[in-house]
This record gives sequence, structure tokens and C-alpha cells, in this order.
Amino acid sequence: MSVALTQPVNFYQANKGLFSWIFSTDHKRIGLLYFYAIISFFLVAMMLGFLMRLELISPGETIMGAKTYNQIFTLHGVIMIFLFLIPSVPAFFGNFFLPIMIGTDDVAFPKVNLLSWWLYVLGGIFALLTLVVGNGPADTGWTFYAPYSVKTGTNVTLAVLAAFILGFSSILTGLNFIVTIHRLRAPKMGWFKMPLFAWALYATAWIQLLATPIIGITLLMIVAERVFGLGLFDPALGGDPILYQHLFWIYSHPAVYIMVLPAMGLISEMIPTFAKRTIFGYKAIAFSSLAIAFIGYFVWGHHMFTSGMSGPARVIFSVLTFLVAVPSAIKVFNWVATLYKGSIDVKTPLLFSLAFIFQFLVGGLTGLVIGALATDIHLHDTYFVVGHFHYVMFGGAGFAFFGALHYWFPKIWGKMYHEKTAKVAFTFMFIGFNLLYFPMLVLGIMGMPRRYYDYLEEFTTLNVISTVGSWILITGIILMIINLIQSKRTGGETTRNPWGGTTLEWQTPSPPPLHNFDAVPVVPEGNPYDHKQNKSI
Amino acid sequence: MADKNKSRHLPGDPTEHLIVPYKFHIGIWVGLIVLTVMTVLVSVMGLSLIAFSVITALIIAVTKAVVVANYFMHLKYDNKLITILMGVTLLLFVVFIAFTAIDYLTR
Repeated sequence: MSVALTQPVNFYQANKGLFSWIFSTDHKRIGLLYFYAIISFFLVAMMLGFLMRLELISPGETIMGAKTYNQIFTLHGVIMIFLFLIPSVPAFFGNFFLPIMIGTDDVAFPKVNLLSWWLYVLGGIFALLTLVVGNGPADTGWTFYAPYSVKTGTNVTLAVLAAFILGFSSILTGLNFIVTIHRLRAPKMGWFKMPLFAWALYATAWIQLLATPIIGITLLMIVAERVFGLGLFDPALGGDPILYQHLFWIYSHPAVYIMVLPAMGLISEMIPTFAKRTIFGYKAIAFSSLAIAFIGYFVWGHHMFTSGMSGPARVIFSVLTFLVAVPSAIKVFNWVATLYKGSIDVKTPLLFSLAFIFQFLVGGLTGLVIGALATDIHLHDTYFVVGHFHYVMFGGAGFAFFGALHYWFPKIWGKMYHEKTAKVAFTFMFIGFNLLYFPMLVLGIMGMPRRYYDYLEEFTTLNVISTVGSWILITGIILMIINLIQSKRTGGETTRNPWGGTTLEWQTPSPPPLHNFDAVPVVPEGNPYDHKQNKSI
Repeated sequence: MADKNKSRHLPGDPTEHLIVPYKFHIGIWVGLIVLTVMTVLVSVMGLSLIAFSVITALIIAVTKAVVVANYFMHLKYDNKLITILMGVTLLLFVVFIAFTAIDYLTR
């Protein structure tokens, strides 16, 4: 009983039953609802990716024909982008930790937060419905490019509506975070006392709020075109297919930063904790988040260099694209500088962070190759592009997500994960990932086009390596998930602050009580990552 | 207006609200009505050039938007940061249109 008296009731124990979850307005529960939905969709899309790689293990038709392959890569893309990457970090970690990290008890609009989860579920159902009704899932690619998306007989309308609904979910999350950060910071939590994860979420939230409506309207235009034949994008009716690409990428390029910016925020949390050292260049990292969000709006045209866009427009977009590299590089240099002379504690989250830096570097630098006009002509629509964006999206955002899952595992579930198994899983994932995607970069330079179920004989060896890589990667992911599920049941006890972190979430019990804190949190003086002041280590 | 600025609430303090008298709001509303009448007059009278009436109508519309944002939506009395964020949003909108136009005009 004495334990019950001193230990406050945590947020799991506060309420029981299914309805206490699916109608909860507690940001922690909504975060977890998102997590279970997001990870389920991730596993589905991962299996689709596995099937694609299996088809590509040898030339010719292996396990599926062209149309099925087209539908599978479209569904893989739609699920990974709209149902995994975009909501992953903000909607799960953001929801769970933002209010705790800035020292408040919930987000600004808890009911709107619940609504955004319900919209997410509805959008997910629409996406899955495309599988079972009509002529099967869309075969357009996740970009839904006109005029093909207007003409194909597959379920484009339904898939587009799914993306439309998911967009609203994203807008509401963004709105909630902006207001929360402006209005609900703890009394002593000034802007420059905020953890860098909060800064990253703030920059991301502005993109979610301002850019997402554009894709909403654009996708509705596709529906209008299909249903009423308006002629917005059909040249025969006086429309312009390149207009669609403009409208699509005005959103979808900033959306790339919705996916990677919060992941960068996670890295900025994990590295100082495991280097036991104040982060290098706090303000530079904070402002570079804002700079990436801002400049990200100006570069959408680099997806369209070979579309028939005008020469001057191409030059402008190419130059601006190189500008985005600057704030991204600032972050990388600062993370590396933080590690320098730190007393590094090599735990799984740090391994994921280091893998992030390496893989994000490869993804970023290959991005510059295709950001240059001349090289892009050769590499556009080849496997080089597929390799590039998987290095950024999965090698970057995905690895940061899984790293943070280990980092905050003890805080969320109140148990410590099994470290050794986690490291083995990480090793499988790291090796598998690079075996899977690095050959794609080479294949692209050799000229293998993307989005075909077939290829020439000379590409066979590298494709086999890539497919074997996918098996190793999946083994690692499954091992990681089994380990985390096991750890939740049988993991060791943990404390408030198992890693010696300096941000506010480490001052509260693990798992946190219903209203987040059992005592008024103490906002540290000076830099939020000052490990010299931290007496809890 | 000087005395009103004194009661301007502190940034980040949602408990204190500025109270603007009804008379003032009605004055703004009358001003907006006058501007609306002007828009109608310009188009009805067809003041020679189409370009002229379109530009006039746009100028009037922008003026109205600024007045509504400043007084009815309290942008003028709120933290400067909000005005900056609003400005950045407008700038981005202009960029979307302008950059797309660059492609079209030089193709």
C-alpha cells in the first residue's frame, strides 16, 4: 500500500475500457492511438514493399504482372507517405511529448486532437477500401499525375479522397501544436528554453497548416476532372497537365519537410542525452528548422525539371534547391560537434541517431545530384531517385522514428527494453537498409527506370542484392517489434530518468500521471540541454 | 487610440482582453459599407477602362481586408509576432502564384 500512496496513478490506470481510449481527449492516449494505427499501416506497406522487391528479384514476370505491380507501388507510396511518414513523428511523439516537454497538461484543443485521430482512421479506411471495391487500387503512383489519373479506370477517386481526409487530420494537428506552443508553455519556458523537438514541431506545424489545404484543393480538382470532365488538366479541353504538377508539388515538397523536420528534432533530443553534453549551436538548430520550413516552400519545381517547365523557371528552382542544403548541413555539423568530446554512452537510440546522420547525408548529397539541372536529365525517373528518397525518408525519418521509440520506450510504457536484442535488431536493420537501397543508386546511374515490374538482364545482380537486403531489413524490423512487445511485458523496471536527460519529460514518473506531472516541473536555467546542471544523473 | 494601447494585453497572457467600445466597431463597419458602395459604383459606372475598375476594386478589397484583420480580428492590438506570421503567410501565397506564373510566362 505504501507504494500506492507515494506513486501517483498513471494515465493508463486513470481510466479503463475501450471507450476510455477511442474517445479520450488525453494527448498521451491520442498519441498512442495514433501509434498503434501508424505502426499497423507501416507493416502493411512494408509487406507491399517486400512483394515489390520479390517481383524484381529476376527479370520478367516473377510473381505479378505489370498492372498489379503498378497498383502495389501506388498503395505502398500512399500508405507510407500519408499514413506513416506524415503523421508518424508529429502525431505520435508530438502528441505524447510536446505538452510534457513544454510543461503543460494537454494540447490547446484536446477535442480537435481527438477529431484529427478519427479523421486519420476514416482516411485510412478509405485507402483500404480501394483494395476491395471497383477496379482495385489506383495504379498512378502516389503522385496521382494528370492526365493519367483522370483517365485510368482504377479507384483513383477513392484514393484521392482518402488523401484529402488525411490532409484535414494533418492540418488540425498542426493548428493544435502552433497554438499549444504559443499559448501553453510553462511560466519560465521561454522560446529559447524550449527543447529542439518542440522547435522542430513548431516549424513543421506551420507547413501542415499552410501547405496542406493546397493538396486538398488539388485532389478535389482531380475528382472534379474525373466526374465532370472540367478540362483543368486535359490539353484537349484547354487544360494544362503541368499545372497539376505545380499544384501537387507546392504541397508535396514542403510535405517532405513535414516528414523529416520532426525526425531531425528527435535526433537533436537523443544526441545530447547520449553524448552527455550540451547541444552545440542550440539557436542555430532552432533557426535552421524555421529556415528549412520557409525555404522548403520555394523549391517545388525541382520535381518537374523534365516535365516541360520553362527554362528560366528550371534555373530558379535549381538555385533555390541548393539553398535548402545550407540549413540541413547546419544541423548535421551541429550534431557531430555535439558528439565531439562528449562522454558517449552507446545505447540503441544513439545507434539509430548515428545511422540517421550517415543515411541522411547520403540522401541529402544524392539530392544535390538530382537538384542540378544537367545531372537530373540523366537521372530523373530512374532508380537513383528511388534510392535517394528512401535514404532521406526511411534512412532518415524512419530510423529517427525507431530510435525515438527506444529512447522514449521507458517513459511511455514504464519498462526498459532489452538492450542487447535491440542492438542486434538495429544491426540487421542498418545492414539490410543499405544493402536494399544503395544498389538502387548504382542501378539508377546505369539507367534502370523506376516504376516497371521488369528490367534488362544486365541489372540482375544488383537487383538480387537489393532484394536480399529487403529480407535482412524486414528481419531486423520484426525482431525489433517482437523485442519491444516482449519488453513491454517482461522488461526491467525503469526510473523517471533512465538516460540522464535534461528536458522536462524526464522529471515526471514513467509512465506519466494523467495530468503529466506529479509536482510542478522545474524549467532549467539557461540552455535546456545543460548537462552540468543536471543533478539527476 | 493612445489610451487604448495602454490596456494592450501582455504577450502570452490570454486572461487579459482589450475592450474596444461598440461605437468604434460600428464606425469601422460603416467605413466598410462605404467601401462596398464604392466598389459597386466603380463597376456600375464603368469608369472607362476595365483595368481601371478592376484595379480600383482590388485596392478597395485589400483595404477592407486590412481593416477587418486589424480591428475586427484584433491584429493591431495583439502581439507583433502574430502580424509577422500573417505577413509570412501572405508572402508564401504570393510566391506560389508568382513562381507558377514565371513558368507560364517564359514557356
